[in-house]
Amino acid sequence: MRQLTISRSSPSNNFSSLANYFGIAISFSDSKPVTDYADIERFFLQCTMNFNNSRTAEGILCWIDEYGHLISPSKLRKLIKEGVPYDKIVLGGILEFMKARTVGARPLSILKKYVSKRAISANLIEGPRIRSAAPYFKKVGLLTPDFLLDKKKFLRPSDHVLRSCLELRYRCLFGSVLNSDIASALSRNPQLNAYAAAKLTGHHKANVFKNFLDIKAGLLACRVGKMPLE
Amino acid sequence: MNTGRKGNIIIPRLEVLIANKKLLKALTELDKLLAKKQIALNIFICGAFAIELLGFERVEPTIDADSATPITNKEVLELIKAIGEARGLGSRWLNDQASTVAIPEGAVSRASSFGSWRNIKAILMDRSDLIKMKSAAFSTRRDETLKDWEDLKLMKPTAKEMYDAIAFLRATRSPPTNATRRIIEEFNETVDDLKKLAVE
Repeated sequence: MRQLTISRSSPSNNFSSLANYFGIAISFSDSKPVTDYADIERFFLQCTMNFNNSRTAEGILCWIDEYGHLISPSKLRKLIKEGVPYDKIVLGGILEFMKARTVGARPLSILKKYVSKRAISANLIEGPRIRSAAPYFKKVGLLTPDFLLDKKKFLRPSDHVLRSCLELRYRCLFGSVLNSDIASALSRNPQLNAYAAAKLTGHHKANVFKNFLDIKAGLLACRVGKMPLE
Repeated sequence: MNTGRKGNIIIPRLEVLIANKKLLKALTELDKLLAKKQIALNIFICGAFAIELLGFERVEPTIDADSATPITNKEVLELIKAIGEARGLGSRWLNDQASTVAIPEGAVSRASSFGSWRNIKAILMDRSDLIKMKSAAFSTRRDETLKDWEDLKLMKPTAKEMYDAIAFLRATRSPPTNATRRIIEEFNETVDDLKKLAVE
C-alpha cells in the first residue's frame, strides 16, 4: 500500500469539514461547520491526499463526477506552482477519471506536467488484492476497486448543497471563476480589501483589482435591494 | 470499542451520538409523525451505522441507516422521503436494502434495544452477526468497494467470530458445484482474506 500524507488539520477548514460542506455525505468524526470562505480548488488538491479508505475515496470521486466541471484547471495550476501540497500520482488518476467520465468543460491537459505515475502498481487504499481495478487509477499504477459511484448514497442532494454552499452556488451562477470566488469571499467578509481577497482566493492580484469594485458594488446592490443572491 | 451496555440495551458513547446527530434527529422526527398517524415501525439496524452505534470510532459511514427488516408501508416510505428531502439527507437515509440478504439465524434474539422512541421500535444487530453480515457483503462486493473489509478490520474479530462468519459465508454464498474454476478460486481467496482479519 502507498503511504499518503493525511492532511487532517484541526478546525473548520480541515478535509472532513470541507468535504461535508461541499456535499460529501460521510459522517466524519472530526467535521466542524464551515464559516469562512472555502476554496474549491484547494479542497480539490486536499482530496488527492485523502484517499484513506474506501468510503472516502468513493465519496470524493462522486463529488468530482458531480461538481468537477466547476473546477478551474488554471487556478489549480497556479496553486500547485505556489506550493499548495497535493499527491501527484492520485491527481494523475483523478484526471484520468475525469477524462473517462467526461467531467469538466475546462481543459485539464494543462495539468499534465504536474502529475506522475507509479512504475509498479500498488493498492491505493489498504486492503486485500484488488481483482478488478478501476481503469482510471490503473493507468497511473494505483489499484482501487472499480467503485459503483452511488451518488445518492455518497452525496447530499445538490439543491441542499447549493443552498448552503455559497462557493459552489456562485460558480454555478457566474461564468467567471474569479468573480464567483471574490463574491463568495466578500459575502463571508464584506470588509476584505482587494489584496486580501486575492490572497484568500488564490487569484492573480492584477485580475482581482480589475474586477473587485464591480463585484463589491454588485453584491452591495443585491443586499440593499434584498435580491436573493446570498 | 467504547460503549456502555445496560442489560440488553446499548448506550453508545456521547461522541458517537453527536456524530450521528443528523440521523438520530431524523429518526426522532419520523417517530413523532408516526405517532400522529398511529403507525408502528420496527427497524433492525445493521451495517456501518450499527457498527458506529456499537462504539467503534472512525467508521466514517455514509449518512444513512440500514434496516434488515423490510419497510413496506407506503405512508412510512413517504414520510422517510419527505424528512430526508427537508433535512438534506436524501430519500434513502433510512432504507431496507439489507432486508433482501440472508441474516444469520437467531440474529433477532441476539439484538439489543436501541433508542427510546414511542412508535419506532429499533433493535441493534449484535457484533457477532454484524461480522457475519459484513463478511458476506465483502464476498459479494469486494470488486466494487473495500468498505466491508475496512469495517471488519476495525471490529477486530476474534478467531472464533471469524470462524463463525466464514461458516455463515459458506452456508449462504458458496459457489454452485458447477461454478467455473475462477469463481471457486476467487471464493477461496476471499475466505483466506477473511481468515487474515482474525485477531488472536
